[in-house]
Amino acid sequence: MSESPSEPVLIQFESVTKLYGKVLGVNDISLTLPQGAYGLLGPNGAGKSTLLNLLIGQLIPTRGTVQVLGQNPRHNPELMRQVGFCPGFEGLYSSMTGLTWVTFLLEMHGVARRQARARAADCMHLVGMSDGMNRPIAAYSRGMRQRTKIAQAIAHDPQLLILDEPLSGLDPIGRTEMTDVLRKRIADGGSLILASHVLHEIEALTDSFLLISDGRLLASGTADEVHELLFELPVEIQIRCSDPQRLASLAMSHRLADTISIGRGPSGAELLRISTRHTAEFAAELPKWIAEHSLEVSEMKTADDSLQTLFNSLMKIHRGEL
Amino acid sequence: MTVLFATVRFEYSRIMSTGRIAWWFVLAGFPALIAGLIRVFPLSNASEEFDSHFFWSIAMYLLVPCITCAMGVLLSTGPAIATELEQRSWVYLATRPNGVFWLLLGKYLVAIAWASTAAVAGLTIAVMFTGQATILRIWAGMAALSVLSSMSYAAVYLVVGAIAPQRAMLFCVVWTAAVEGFMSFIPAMINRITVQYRLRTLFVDWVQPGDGIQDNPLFTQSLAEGPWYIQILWLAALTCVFMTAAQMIAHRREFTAAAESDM
Repeated sequence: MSESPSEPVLIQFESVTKLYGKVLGVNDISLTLPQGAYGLLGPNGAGKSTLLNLLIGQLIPTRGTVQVLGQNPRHNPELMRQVGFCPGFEGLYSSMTGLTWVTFLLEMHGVARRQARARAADCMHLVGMSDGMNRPIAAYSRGMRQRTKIAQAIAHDPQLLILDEPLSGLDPIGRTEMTDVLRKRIADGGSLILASHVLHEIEALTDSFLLISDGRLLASGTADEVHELLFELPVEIQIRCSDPQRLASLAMSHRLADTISIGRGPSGAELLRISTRHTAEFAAELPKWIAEHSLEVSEMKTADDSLQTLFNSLMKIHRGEL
Repeated sequence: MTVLFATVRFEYSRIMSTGRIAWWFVLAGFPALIAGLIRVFPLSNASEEFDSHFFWSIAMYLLVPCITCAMGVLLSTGPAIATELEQRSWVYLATRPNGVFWLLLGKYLVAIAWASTAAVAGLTIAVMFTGQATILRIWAGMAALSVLSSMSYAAVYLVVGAIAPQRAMLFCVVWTAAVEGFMSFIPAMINRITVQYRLRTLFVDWVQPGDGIQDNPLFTQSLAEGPWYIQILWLAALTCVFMTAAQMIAHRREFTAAAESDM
């Protein structure tokens, strides 16, 4: 994703590496994004939070340079006025009310107390916290805390919102409501970077993705391109049946398996592992084989239906193993 | 100034918790309790030449500006950064314009108010037990020293807390014992940059505990020369240096939870 000449650059990473001692946080990321909404997708521990902390200037890159809205984010008060951040953890003061907390954070932007309180109340209302905003945060559910965190991020009306797992802990209604709030900001021209390990959360807000794993930027593109990647990648299926050798030979003879292995499961029983790019055809053939060869299948599951599979495969592609 | 007022108001509301109020009373009660015990159980081997003004002046100085004030600001500014990091609220404040600067300044001012009010309250009760004709002089001198002590030690502990947030309290105690307790008595250039050296000089100047101090070689080597305002200027300069150092360290360091949780 590169910017067109007319659009101002939202973020720019130039060969950015962040090391924690000898451990890599992010690894040689170069990236230029124009204004807009982006989903930062990656499994837990991928480096998403490190990347976000580099964006808000809380971390200094070990190598390379980071620019946000054309400025260095480290100790940049002017930039901080234009950026709203919602971290992935809570960190709220439990003894005070949500309204007091958001009001105080607005006052730290230099907003006068009365205006700050009115604006904070508006934001709490916007995120559905009208009823709870005068209660101590200690009495909040996880979803209410999440809403309060979003309220403090949007309260000063920033140009760029940086959100780390903003929908975690919310119930389905809460997710929908918060998604609507964020969608409206995007529609109003606000930029957004949303980190999540859940594809659907990002898909609901934007079709621009950045895929990160093990600190590396593996891919970027639209939702369709990510789905294409998912579709083309082999899926591992684990089957426990009465005759795994027979089933393995059937899959091989029909050319529906990329790799096959037979091992022992945790219970000691034989377990067939089939890796296939032809999931639909395999699923169509399997009942026939079971009927024709009197196979008894006691368990069948995909090894990992989460994004981890995608990221593992992308890492293999990155290393030239696939 | 809106931000400073907001930060001070916010920090003030936080110290008005039951636990912190209880600590305030413990702190205020400490010099009063010790003075009361000394009064109830007087020294049995006190000679006829016992200079009670000298004794009570020293006792008040040690109890109030030295222990109560130092302890008071230690509790507030020592863990100032550590508490925000531990409850993971740091990033909310650090991502505000000059957030770290205002946060530390606000905590510093509230710590001074918290510790010096406790010290002066305790002092007010404690001096009642002295039974001295010079009670007003002792009170006034100690009250002024309490404010100066709180201002200076709060800045010192803010630096220590910024350098070692995870062991802030321990390092503050070690610093106090090593630098303010021991080094301030070393008759060399090094003791001139300690808070205790200036406070002690002001104490002798303002309270005038008696000839015992000036005649004692231990003290004559560890008192500064020059009028009181020079000592105050020194304290102000030391406070500014420590505050600047604390701000610089807090700004330069990477205090973020991502360093631990997301790699």
